[in-house]
Amino acid sequence: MTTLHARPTQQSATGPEMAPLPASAHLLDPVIRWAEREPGRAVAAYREGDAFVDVTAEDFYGRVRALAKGLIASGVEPGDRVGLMSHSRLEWLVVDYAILAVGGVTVPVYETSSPDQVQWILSDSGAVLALVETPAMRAIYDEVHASATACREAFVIDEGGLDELMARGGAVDDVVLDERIAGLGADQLATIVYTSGTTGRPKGCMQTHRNLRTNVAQNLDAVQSMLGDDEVCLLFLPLAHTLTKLIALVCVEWGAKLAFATDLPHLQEELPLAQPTLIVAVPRVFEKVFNAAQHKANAEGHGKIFDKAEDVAIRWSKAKVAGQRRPIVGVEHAAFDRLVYGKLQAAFGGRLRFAFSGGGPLGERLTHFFHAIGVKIFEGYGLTETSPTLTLNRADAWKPGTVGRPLAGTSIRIADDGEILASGPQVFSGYWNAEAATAETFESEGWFRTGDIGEIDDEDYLRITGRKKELIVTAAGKNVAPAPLEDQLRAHPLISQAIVVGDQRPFVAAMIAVDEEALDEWATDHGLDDVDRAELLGHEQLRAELQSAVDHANRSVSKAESIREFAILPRDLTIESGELTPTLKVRRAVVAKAYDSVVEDLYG
Amino acid sequence: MDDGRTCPACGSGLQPAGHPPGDRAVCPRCGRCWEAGGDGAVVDPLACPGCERRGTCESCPTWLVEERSRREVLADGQQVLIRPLLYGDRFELAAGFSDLSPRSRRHRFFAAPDELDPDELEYLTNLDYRDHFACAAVLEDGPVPKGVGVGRYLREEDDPTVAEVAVTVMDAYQRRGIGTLLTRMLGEVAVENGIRTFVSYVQWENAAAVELLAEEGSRVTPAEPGVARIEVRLPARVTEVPDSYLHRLIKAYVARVRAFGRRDGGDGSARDGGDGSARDGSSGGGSSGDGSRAGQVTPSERSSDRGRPRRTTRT
Repeated sequence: MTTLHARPTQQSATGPEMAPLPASAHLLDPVIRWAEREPGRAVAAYREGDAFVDVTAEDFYGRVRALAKGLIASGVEPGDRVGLMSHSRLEWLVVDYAILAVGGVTVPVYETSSPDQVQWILSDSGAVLALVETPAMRAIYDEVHASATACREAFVIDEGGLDELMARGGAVDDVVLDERIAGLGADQLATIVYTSGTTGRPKGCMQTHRNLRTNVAQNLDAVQSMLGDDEVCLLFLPLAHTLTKLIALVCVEWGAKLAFATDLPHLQEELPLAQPTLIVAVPRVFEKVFNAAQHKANAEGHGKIFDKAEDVAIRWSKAKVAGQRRPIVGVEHAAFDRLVYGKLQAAFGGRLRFAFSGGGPLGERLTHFFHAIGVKIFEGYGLTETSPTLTLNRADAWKPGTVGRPLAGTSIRIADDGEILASGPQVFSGYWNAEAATAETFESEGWFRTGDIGEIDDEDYLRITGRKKELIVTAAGKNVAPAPLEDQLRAHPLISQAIVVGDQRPFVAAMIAVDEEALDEWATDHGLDDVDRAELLGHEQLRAELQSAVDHANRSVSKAESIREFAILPRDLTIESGELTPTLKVRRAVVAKAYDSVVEDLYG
Repeated sequence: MDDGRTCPACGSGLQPAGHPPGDRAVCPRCGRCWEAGGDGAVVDPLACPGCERRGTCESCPTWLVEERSRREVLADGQQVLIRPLLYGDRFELAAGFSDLSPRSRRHRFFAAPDELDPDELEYLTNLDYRDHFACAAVLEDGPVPKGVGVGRYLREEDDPTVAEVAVTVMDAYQRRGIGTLLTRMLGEVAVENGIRTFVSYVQWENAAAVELLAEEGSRVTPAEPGVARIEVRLPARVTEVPDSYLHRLIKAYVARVRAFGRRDGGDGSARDGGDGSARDGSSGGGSSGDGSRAGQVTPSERSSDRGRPRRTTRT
């Protein structure tokens, strides 16, 4: 390709050097280490009644072993894939480690996945066994089982499935399991995580023990200086997401206590119960906390105080980051600390000191604001393909608005066309069963092509400026390809144009233009001839008809990726409004913005 | 005009032609005129579909067709006619759009319906050839001339020195150099009309188009997710091309087309009014460039212009 960018030089940045992981290292190491060294250490916790109950290192490893033996008894051999469909809970992690202990490969499935997706993931990965959380998930499994040919059995966690497995493993000698564990190595496959691309079926990213364990070490290297001996992490995002999983692994490595939130609705209640010192969240969570606090202040007539507090917070943080001494801001900050910031801290449980944010861009102002209330947010960048972290704002090198510098052992390069290329020990080896896709994702010199566009500043910080892939990334960090959804919507006779939006928004929505001719026919068929057009567009029956088209399109995706709401466009897109370019290309971002009022309504 | 009528010669549905439409019906396949006194004669390819005059009509684009039409040869030996798009091309444009693969349609419009509606069609073919110029690539070696590509620029309202460009080539003809030829003609016409910068929005995934438009010195920046904005500076004026020999060749070619008039005549390569007749239009929307540099060299250039810059415009 010819030179695309008017860049004066090729830009690149490399993190500090890093010794490679020994070939014998694997993900069970820290679990075993804690169980042996500090058997009584609380490594996990789960909600029971009105409190969180601790799980000790010895207990945790004991559960892993018992379950692993059950897997051996069920015929799981090294290299076998095992499906795991569940929301984040203690058992998720126990099952994952048990699968790894017997040399197996965990294939996580989102709890919100559609039957189509479950079928594809189980059959493509060739999973021999599946563990599902609920009877409802079991029903999905049963529905698709016939086509997931390699899958022999499924166990339901909520119906004693794990006990059943453990009981089965009772007869298996510990020596057999020890041999399996001894046989583990860094370059064995640990997990296959399915991600959706812009077209086609989801692809399975193969992550080895080395990929993940290295990324744990790299992340720790960046934040270690802030970690103490009594860290508590409250987990509430799906462990099927690589970032959540990685932070869980970081906690296990460090010996931080992993508290599992019951579910999102209980989060507010459980933050004070678990009193986490760190969380991993998507930007939306921070936005929500901020908006709720602002809203509350306004409602109580303290809007002005809040605004002032926000302003001081940002100035304080900026001065602090720049290393400036600003005594007046310092005094103001101290004052608001008691008035405003303390309350926000309390909402997080009172002990929160830092947070990992990923899945989408976090506003620079928000980062500064939370910094001032005592929560340092580490924004980073990476993909499932990179296990996931490539760059991270470090404790000692922290620049809001950027996604940080490359981690140890990691190199970032900006290609001629602006694409971010990466290399490092955390970069995956390829997609499962998809050589062509794998070949496409590495450029000629072996650099991984991220598909994102960015710039590296003169201090080696990476800034994300765009995306090559036509993907919507929701505020919840879900990647959604609009094209297949739009194609399916357009297949409906009443729909002439469909534009799927939702980038950096809470969920996916669709803007639908109705075909005039088809609408006339439809109105006649439904005895609505006399109804005028505007009224017709708002008619219940029409909405129901379109809803069925939306439902149909949604069948191919998970709930998190599905079109939650739709709006009927009152008129055609126009060039004057900027929704179309002069040559009639649709500008999705403008359409999304133009209809934000509608969409925000939908978003509530 | 009855849209339902069929061409007695080939059975295709007749389409109204002319501007305003309504006084003639032509067969989009074989290019014959059957209505309003038409006796099935092949319509003069260079006659203005609006006023039927040809050659020098200042209110019609016909003169442009003569001045601008250019025969080129692709690297694979395929001859192709590049000429301004005419209003009468709109039916073939519509048909071509429907024939495009969904992927190509998407590349062209980013979210494309299965067919162009009448308003869109009108917008895309009612050209003023200054602020909105389009050209078609036409293959003439079949029984009926076949439009295989279309390129257009539209001047931007806020900055009259900037125009947005879109180029589309039918799927089966992509990556053969047709997009390059279309883009080159766009560049030449744009420069003459005071346009200094071409801007185009292309999906990154459409690598051929990115390659076609992003040349040395161009500025590629990310627009919204999946889309690149490519900005190319055009030279201040057209100089070298059409160089004298090429110019002479075009003149000769135009003269030849004139000579054969309504009946067949001409030489084998231009039979049945094949030289860009109003009906062989151009094909539609879709997308995608064909990035290869094939077909830049016409025989004339090959024989006589060694050492001279081949391209005047950088598009």
